[in-house]
Amino acid sequence: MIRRVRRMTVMMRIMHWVLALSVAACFVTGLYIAKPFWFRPAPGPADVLVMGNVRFVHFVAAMLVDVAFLSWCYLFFFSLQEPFVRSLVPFRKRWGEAWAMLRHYFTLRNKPPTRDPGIDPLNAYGFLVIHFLVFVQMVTGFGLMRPTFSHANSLLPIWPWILEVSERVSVAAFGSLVAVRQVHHLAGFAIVALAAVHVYLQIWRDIFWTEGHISVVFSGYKYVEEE
Amino acid sequence: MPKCPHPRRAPSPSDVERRLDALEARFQGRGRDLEELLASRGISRRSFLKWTSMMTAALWLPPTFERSVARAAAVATRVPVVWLHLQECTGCTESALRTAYPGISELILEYLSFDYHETIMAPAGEAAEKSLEDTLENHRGAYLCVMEGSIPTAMDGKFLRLGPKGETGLSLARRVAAGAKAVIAIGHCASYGGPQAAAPNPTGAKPVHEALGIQTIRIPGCPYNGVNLVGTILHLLLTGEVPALVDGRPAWAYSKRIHDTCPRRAHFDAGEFVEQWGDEGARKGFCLYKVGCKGPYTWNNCNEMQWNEAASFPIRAGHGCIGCSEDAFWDDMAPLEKPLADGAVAIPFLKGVEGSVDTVGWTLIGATAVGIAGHAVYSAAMKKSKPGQDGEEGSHGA
Repeated sequence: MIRRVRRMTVMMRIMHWVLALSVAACFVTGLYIAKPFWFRPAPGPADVLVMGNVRFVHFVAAMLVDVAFLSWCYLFFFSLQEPFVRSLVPFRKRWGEAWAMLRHYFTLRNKPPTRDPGIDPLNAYGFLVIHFLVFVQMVTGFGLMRPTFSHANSLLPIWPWILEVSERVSVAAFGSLVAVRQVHHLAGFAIVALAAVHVYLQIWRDIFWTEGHISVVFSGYKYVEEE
Repeated sequence: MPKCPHPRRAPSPSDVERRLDALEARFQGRGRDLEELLASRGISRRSFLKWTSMMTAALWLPPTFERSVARAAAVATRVPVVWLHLQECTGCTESALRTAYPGISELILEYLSFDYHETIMAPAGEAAEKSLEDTLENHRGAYLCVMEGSIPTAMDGKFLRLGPKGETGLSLARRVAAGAKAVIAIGHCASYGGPQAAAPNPTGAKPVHEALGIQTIRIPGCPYNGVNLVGTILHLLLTGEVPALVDGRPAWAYSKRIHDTCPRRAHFDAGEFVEQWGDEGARKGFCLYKVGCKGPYTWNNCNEMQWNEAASFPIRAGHGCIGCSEDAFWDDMAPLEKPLADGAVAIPFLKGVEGSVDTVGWTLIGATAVGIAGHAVYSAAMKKSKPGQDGEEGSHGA
């Protein structure tokens, strides 16, 4: 008998795709901002703000990442459906489960049971690292944005304050604005590398578990065979 | 990092006038007379007044202070100044002294009443020492101390010895700073340590404020811009106070980012870059970001004040900013003619190995791809060699 198991709520799926697309946009535009890679021989006076537009996309995508990140932080603890925190506590038990999953990836044996609800603890640890890196990007990004900020804004008065605190914290943590800039650059690569591992693992599960794993992120369900 | 400081209350004009009266009375007859100097260089009164307007605006003072600025400029050549050369190249002194056509800022700098200045003072040996001691004693609390160069602190400062008694730079600087009205650190070395403080910093070179544990007014740059030193001296004379500082630097000079006031900024936003020296973009005056301009990380007033009486400055002349007014720029911003993405960073866990952030990043992505491919091949082989063991043993469901 095949049982349908719900894995991702609507909210989680929306946030997943917002994050995926925004992170991809941030990475590509970030590479351009760091080192503009296509040369536009301007025949006359420039009428297109290439760098300006790329920066705009970078900032808007970064804001979407930040909103998704903050929502994720909230749902991590307070989701009514399945707070991620349950995948990490009790610590000792979940740590054992994560270790078992890691062994499974290399032995293909002893597939850990599907948790219902909740994601498997190894995945949860991976997401924690990714979201920590997103947090680093957020703070360093705001810190780098502060010098370009004109103090004219249509947002709450707290906005300039956030930028300034971010700048102070990130400069204190890494030494100088240049170091902050380099950390921001490297963390971007780290996020993309982890995302690649994540995508690979989902495909791997789909192939080796034959539970329709890829379907989870679209429909929210996967299918488990039971006696 | 610099931020817009809260504006201070403008000094009261009557206070300023009273202070100038007192200074004029105290230092009467010392040093050189500015009007004579201007006349000897053929600089008209009108040019001088235009210059005072410029300085007044630069110091963020209202136009009513132009007269006071002119008086302060005349006092500036009379106030005793002790100028110390520490661990440095004398480039800062040179840049002020060697101007072919000195403007008024340079002229004032050249004729500050130097009671002690190792490059240009007339006395030598014991006589020079006596001049220094006399100033320290007679003008205690009134003389200005300008320090050029970092202070080596390793081996009790023995890397730098000065004068006939072989006094260490650390000891001399401490003695002179103790009685000074204000200590002005000029150039990158005195402000942030300079190249000698770059890793691995064998002499333990430190900027003045760190080596002595005192507050300094930092006027960084390599070399510094004379306008910024004259402006700071004028501010000290006018108000008797240290100007509003950001990161220890006078806010009036160092609170704007080079990138934001850059004459080439429009080309940055348009995505028009110089790809290599002498190309079409260089001829058209495109943005220098890709040939290493560090303007986005540098705060200074080069764009407004420019150099050598506003003749030009690096970005206008076609070379990117090298960030010489920022902390640790020798370490942080190298290589100076490449964008930061190509700058070397120490690779974590590999001591002494350096690569650009891009190299590190793409290596990380490459290693991930290799790991993924390896695991995929391994998994496929495992599944093939042990059919029926692809997870069927485990229990499903909860």
